Amino acid sequence: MFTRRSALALGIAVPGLAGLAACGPNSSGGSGGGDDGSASLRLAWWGNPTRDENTQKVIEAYEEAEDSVTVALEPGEWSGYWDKLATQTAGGDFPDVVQMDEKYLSEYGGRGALLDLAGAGLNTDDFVEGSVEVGEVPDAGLAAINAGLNSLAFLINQEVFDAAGVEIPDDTTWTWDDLLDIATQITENTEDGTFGMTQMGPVQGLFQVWVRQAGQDQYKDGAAGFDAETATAWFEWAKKVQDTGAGPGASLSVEDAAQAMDQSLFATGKVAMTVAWSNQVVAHDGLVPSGVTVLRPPSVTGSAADAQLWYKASMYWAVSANSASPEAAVALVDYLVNSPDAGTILGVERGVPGNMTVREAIVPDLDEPNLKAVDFLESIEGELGPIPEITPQGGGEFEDILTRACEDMLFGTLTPAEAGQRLLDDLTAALG
Amino acid sequence: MTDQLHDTTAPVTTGTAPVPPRRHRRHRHLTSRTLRHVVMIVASVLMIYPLLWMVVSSLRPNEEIFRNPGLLPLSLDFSNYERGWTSLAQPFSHYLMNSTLLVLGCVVGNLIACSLTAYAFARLKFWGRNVAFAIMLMTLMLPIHVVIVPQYIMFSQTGWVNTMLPLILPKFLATDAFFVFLMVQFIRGIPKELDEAARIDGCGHFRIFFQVILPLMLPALATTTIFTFMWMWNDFFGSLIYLTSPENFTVPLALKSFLDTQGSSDWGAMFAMSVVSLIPLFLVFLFGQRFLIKGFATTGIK
Amino acid sequence: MSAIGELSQIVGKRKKGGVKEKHPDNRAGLLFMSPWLLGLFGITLLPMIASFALAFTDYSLLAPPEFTGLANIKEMIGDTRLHNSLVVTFIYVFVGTPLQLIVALLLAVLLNQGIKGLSFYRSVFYLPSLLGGSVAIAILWRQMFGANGLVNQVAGMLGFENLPGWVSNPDTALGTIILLHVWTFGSPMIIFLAGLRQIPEMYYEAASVDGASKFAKFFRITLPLLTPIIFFNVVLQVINAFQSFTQAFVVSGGTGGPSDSTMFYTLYLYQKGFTQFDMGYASAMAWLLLIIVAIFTAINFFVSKFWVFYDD
Repeated sequence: MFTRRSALALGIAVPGLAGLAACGPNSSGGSGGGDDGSASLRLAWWGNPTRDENTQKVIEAYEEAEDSVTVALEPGEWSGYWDKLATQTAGGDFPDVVQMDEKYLSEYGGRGALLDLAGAGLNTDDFVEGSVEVGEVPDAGLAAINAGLNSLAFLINQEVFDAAGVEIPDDTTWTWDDLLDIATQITENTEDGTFGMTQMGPVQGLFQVWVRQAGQDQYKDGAAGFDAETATAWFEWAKKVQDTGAGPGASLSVEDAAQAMDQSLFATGKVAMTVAWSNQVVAHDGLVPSGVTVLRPPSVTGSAADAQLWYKASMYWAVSANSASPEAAVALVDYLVNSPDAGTILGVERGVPGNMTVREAIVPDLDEPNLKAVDFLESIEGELGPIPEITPQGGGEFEDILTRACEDMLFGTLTPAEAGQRLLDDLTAALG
Repeated sequence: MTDQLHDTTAPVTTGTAPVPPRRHRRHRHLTSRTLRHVVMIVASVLMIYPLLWMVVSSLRPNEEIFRNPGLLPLSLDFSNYERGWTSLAQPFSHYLMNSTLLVLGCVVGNLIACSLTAYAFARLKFWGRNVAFAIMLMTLMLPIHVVIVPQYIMFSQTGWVNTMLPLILPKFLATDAFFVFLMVQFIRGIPKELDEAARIDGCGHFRIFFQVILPLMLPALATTTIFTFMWMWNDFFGSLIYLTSPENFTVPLALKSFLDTQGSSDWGAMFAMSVVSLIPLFLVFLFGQRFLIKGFATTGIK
Repeated sequence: MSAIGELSQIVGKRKKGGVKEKHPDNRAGLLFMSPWLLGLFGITLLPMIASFALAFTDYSLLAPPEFTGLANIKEMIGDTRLHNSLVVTFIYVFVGTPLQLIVALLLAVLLNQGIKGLSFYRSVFYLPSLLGGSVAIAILWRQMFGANGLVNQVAGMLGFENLPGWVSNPDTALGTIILLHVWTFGSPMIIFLAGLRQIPEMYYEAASVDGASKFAKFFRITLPLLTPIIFFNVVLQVINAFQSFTQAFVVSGGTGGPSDSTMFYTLYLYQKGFTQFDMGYASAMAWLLLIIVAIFTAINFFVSKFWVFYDD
């Protein structure tokens, strides 16, 4: 149908299309700035009704304080948000200020879509150590500033422990083997269908803890930072969780992983322990009648000092490199992360603020579930390991790769060693 | 086949079909009819179960929704409806309104543009017809995910992003090949003798189209209306890409805002508003299906 | 009837007499086709050409595309996940589509008879299609076919205890999605119904006078006159099934899991394009799909000459 010549002609059309994208009337992000300092900005984020409401309120407050600035709100839901953002980027329609995730930060930052906030003069003096660096992208500077901090945590359902007659362990000394033993014990002491722990094999954050404790990391210099042996050891451990009965079988685990948080085995009281990011503590706390207890992840050595945890940005704020009003956009971000007023409205819904002044201003007003998250984050501050490299381009796929390798292993199509090797191969291919 | 049908000389009957004598077979008839109803009712339960579950779930407190795939015990907690209606940036009626506008535009567009195009494909002999038809079918074969980005780039040049124009305008230009093809098939099912007769009476193509073909393809038009309504009412991807500010959100976008894949979602409100948004859809179907059954059988062409 | 019979004779004569012109309706054609032509050249064609061109590039969406020649095609040849997604999609198309169409046709014929409560049943049978791709249905489906779901509870009562979950098992997950597809048979059913209503009553009346049985009427009137509509449904359902996305997306939560067992072709394409920022590769995949679907559609059209009955 298409001759070679016409295909060639079409090939020429491509740069034309790209050029189209770069020079459109909306290439400034569809917003305008006036000479008098007035600006209209677009702000995009993903979230839930609570976050939407918080964000709306904080913007109303900002607009009141800054008469000359109007902000158009563009809320979204996680998966749709990224489809839309990518399309808008292609169309030269990138919003002025966007909420960003670690997974995709270097995809956007590394391709020049995001403004260097440090270069634009964003004040980060009050930020806790290690919380600003997580927004730095090679060659792009400070592409994003964290909107809240997170760490990986174990969540405990006290009722299931009680029902099994098992004590909650000391999280400063427990090891991976302790975790297995305790979980197995709980499974044995409770009725059929109740387990000690969820299958944590596909949990990317915990995998990262595991490889860090082996002296490696997820990424190093933009490539995979772990070797096949460490990955194999991880899958062997995950297999033990299944084989000892500490956690549910393959099919039930897969089902559990696909469920919404409300439907999960943990939320419905069918398992005693699960793993989550600390900004999810509040949501889980609301789902478990007696509330959750937050523990550190275990360590190989039995010492919390070796747990190699880190502060992850639960999400970031970033500014478009093509914004028509970069000063106004940076000023808005500055307000969002540095103003105690904004902090009071936003709370810790996006994660615990990295800015200590803001954090101190809001902690007194927090309710108990939120305090649990803050306390946990503060308690591990002295034990943190090195700051991990941010996800390189292509790494956003790693979670899927890990899930796939782990599921194949749990269903018995792969041995742990094969799964470990495939994990490494697939990740290397994805990072290209 | 044709010959057999055409050669049959049937008396021209008017009104309803004659009732065949069936007195002596009444008993057998009754049991077979009961059996048929039993089959239908069992099938209906299978079909309707999810809807019932949705309605029941929308009346349950959030934490109970997932514990119970059954329909009992029934609780009557209307707070989900209240919250769902009010907890988003706009009252839910606003999103219903937006969706209605979008859908009406698309229905009108599809009805006009697709029927004109279909008439040309089905009845006119013009240069390049078969090639055009093949190209039209081809436009159905590319997944939306690869054409939406170039299309977005195009529409962003016109400044129509964040309006409904990129979603509605294409319908007025017969880009929905599904319906063109559907109508082509229906028009080809209409005996050609009818338009030939009209032509001999001196009718041009427009009069044939409006006075002969259009009334006879009422079922196809009803189908188009129902499907366009349903698909655009549920359309997510296109609305997601083109509509950015919450004031312009349609129902599917609004429903998604209740959910947070990473945190806590308001399932109750989502179910409640899903039920609410089903009502217009269902009403349109009920209304539209009355035209479905008005085909040849009732339009008096005998 | 006789009038029409005479007419068709006249028409037949006129045809034989020979209107020599091959395209007598060029002007009217242009007029009637003008919206479509505008749409084609104004809206549809450019994105299609662009996607074709992008198939030969590395395009992340976030930066301008770079010409890479046949690199995407070479990669596709060695991409085992892509091959797997083709297998999954073919199974879905060739099991799901015939099943769905048969159910739709049977129920449409059944509903077309003068049964009491007709419009009630019709509405009820259409309901699943209204709900089709919604999140609520995805949740319900996962719950019904879960390890402790309704299906296993019923199976348990029948003596099949401790069955694993259906949605979460790589061997059965695709089956549940096919079932979901069959279950939303409402749309083709409606089209069949509309087609059935369009069959002139006079044919049946004529056949009644001849003393034709119900079966004879069905096979000699209903079925032949319905063939254009059956053909439409076959063609369109095959095209749509090849591009099936929503059901797998919502049921698997967008992952195509477990173990890629519900990784449909378009789902993989979507992941490549949007979550892995490789729109060039996605475009190449899209055009491979187009070729595959076009071949099947062409076969469909070719075969239709032997079984589809048009009155023109």
